[in-house]
Amino acid sequence: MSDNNGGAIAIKGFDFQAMTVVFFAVKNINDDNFNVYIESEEDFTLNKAEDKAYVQVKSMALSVKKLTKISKKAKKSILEKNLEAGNEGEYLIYLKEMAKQDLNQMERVDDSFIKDDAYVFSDSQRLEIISQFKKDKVDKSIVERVQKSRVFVSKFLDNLNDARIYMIGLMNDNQIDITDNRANLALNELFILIHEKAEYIVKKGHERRDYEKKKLTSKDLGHIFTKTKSRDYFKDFLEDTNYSFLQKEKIKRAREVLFTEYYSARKNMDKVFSSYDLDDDCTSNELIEKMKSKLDNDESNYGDCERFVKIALIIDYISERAANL
Amino acid sequence: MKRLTIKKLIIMDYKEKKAQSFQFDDHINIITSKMSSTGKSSLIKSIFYSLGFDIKKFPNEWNSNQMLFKEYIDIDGNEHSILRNKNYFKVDNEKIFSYKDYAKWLASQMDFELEIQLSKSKRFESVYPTEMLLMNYIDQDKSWDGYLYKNVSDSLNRYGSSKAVKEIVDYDLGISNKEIIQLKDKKTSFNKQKKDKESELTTLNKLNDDFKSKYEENVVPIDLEKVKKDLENQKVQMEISNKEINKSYSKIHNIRSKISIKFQDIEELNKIKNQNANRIKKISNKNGECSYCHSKLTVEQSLSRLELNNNIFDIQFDILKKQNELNLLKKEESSLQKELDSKIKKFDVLGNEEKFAKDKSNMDKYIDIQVSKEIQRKYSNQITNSLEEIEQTKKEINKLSYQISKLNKQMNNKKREIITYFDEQLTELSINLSEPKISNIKFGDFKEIEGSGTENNRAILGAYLSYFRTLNCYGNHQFPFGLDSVIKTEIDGVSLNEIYKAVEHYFLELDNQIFFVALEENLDSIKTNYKKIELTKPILSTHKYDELLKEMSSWLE
Repeated sequence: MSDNNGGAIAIKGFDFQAMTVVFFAVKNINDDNFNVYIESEEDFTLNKAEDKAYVQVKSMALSVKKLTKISKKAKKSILEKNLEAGNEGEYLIYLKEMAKQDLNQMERVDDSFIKDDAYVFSDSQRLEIISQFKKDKVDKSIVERVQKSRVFVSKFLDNLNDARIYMIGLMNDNQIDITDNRANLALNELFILIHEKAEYIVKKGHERRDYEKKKLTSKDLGHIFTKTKSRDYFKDFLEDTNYSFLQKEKIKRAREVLFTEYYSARKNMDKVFSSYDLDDDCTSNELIEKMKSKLDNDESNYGDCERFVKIALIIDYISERAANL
Repeated sequence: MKRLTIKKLIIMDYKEKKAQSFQFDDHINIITSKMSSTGKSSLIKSIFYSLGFDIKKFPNEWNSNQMLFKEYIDIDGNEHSILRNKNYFKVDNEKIFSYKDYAKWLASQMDFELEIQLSKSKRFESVYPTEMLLMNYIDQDKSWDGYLYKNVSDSLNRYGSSKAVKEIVDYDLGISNKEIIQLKDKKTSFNKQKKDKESELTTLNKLNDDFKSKYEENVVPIDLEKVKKDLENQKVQMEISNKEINKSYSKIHNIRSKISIKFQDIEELNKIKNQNANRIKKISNKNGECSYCHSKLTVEQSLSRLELNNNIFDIQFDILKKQNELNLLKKEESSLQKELDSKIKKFDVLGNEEKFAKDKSNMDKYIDIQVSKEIQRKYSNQITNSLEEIEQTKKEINKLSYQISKLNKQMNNKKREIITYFDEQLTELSINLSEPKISNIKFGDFKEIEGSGTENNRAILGAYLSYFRTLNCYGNHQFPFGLDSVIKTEIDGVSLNEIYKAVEHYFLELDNQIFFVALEENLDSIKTNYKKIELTKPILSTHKYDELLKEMSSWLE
């Protein structure tokens, strides 16, 4: 059954900046050491085992001149603000658009986080920036960092539909095999997470703990996508069984209350079946029946679960294991 | 013909304690005395009174109410005793009869079967002894007033006396017998029946005409077969239509139950959806803290939220799916409802077709006419029956009329013969009594014989004697004849020679037992020596009382 039927999930909390965080996370999902520290939505740090990049996001069209122009509010230019974020990595400005004339002068480089499409300033542009910095009396150490400054022009526009389509394509490129609506759900969750982390204020004395909280890791991302994938697997697996239509409906319905009503029973499944061989050469129904007999014998944990709840628990467990493979 | 003969009479005045016994000859008995007012009339009155005659008036000294009369009689060789006190009778010393019962006894003994119609009740009733003896006894006090027989007794008053006298005379002479009366009676009853039937027929004819006119007025040519076929077609169509309606109802019912289930499903899904949504709110508060574990910004929180959102998504998807199905069902329901409405409309149209209404009205008329025809047919049958019955009754009446007329003819013949005989007697008596008035008397005419004095007396005597003779010759019963004197008032010394000669010749020679009362002096004219009962005053004797008491003892028992 297709997910494209009617109820498209509205993506809440979309903004260009949050989407940019997701963009980097998806790009690096297969790197176990990757994480992103979200200082604020337009100001975050990408980390890998060896590499680090400070990212400044701007959902606007800019030119080199504009990058160095001091804003009245911040009393600093965009570039300067990016360059003063830290001292150990690359400095990346993520833009919606770059003045074509400027971009043409820039040089394409490989970036450890983006792999392609990153640009570095040309020498003349660099001189122009430095002279501007000097004029603005920017700190010498900051000026030196212009060498490590890169610009990335967004592949998606500042609108949800465009961004969403791009992102799903990107997910598929990275073997995150989830359906359109499931992807939306995952994106939603990511946006919520990014907003929360961005808004989280590090308290004095708890810096170490809070630092962790403002981080989004590739592992976290993997869990989210796995969870999402497992939902699709549940559906596919259920389709593969030979339960009747009404029985399948009941199993689906049970699946939808597992979290709210059978949370501990579901959690306990991991313990019961952690060493269980799911690759046994049998049909889906046979597998379910085998596993169900185990649950049937466990009165203390599964006594309250009726037949279809047990089946839903089993399929959900199998789906999660499968999604994690 | 029965003959009654009086053998003996015992009279006892139980107050005065006087009594007397009289023996009678079987044929002629002449009651006589030297002096008038000796008691001759009292005796002859007593003789007939004892037989049951209602004597109008006894002489003053004769207190019949304090007397016992015992009369010994013989009817064709069978002897009987009749004991009378006032209107009570004891026959053969056995039980006491009322006057009416005694009358019946006497009638049966004498085969006297006459019944006369009562003037008040119009009932025919058997007659009393007075009527049986009417022609046989001529009372000195009451029989000579110019009317023959009529005023001799009050007993006749119950019939209307003139008519009764004629009927009695006819019966006595056998010229008006019971048969004719019965036949006439029967004829009267048939005539009444016929009249009733004719009146019934008139009513039936009127009713019949009413229905006939109704039928003629409303003749509706109707093709019954066609109406029947139309109705059958309509019935079939309506049945089909009805089936269709039922089918639609059942479909709608089915759809509605499906809709109801969908509603329930959607409601349940919404509940689960809300359950999941509520759970999401608990996962993180404003500060990103979990309501349950107070953890913040953990991947578990995130995964839980994702899980719940996925649930909500799935549920929402199902809700939408069900909503779509529900919409389809509703659409189907509405189209089925439309279909049903049109089917019902079609059904109604079938049931209310004008043609059908017209046929129905024709049908009603037709049935009405059929019913009228049927009623008319019944009336017609009744009319036929009535006509047949009337015809039958007419035949019966004719038959009776014929019988009556035949009998009447026979009677008339006999009557003519009797009249001839009667007239002969009158003529002879007229000559012998030198009284031309006698020949003016007509048989069966009981009007007053006008006139006065001895002329009139002779005429009446002539008539009585003629009747006695006719009765003797043609009568059906032989009761004794009693003739108390020949004139109303017997006057001493007046020569009645001619009369007594006539009495001897025309009366004393008759066959019946005869009681004749005459003064001794007048008996000279009578040549033959008949048995005489010579009375001297007083006729009852105290000496005889004790002796005769024994014979009357049965009364006292």
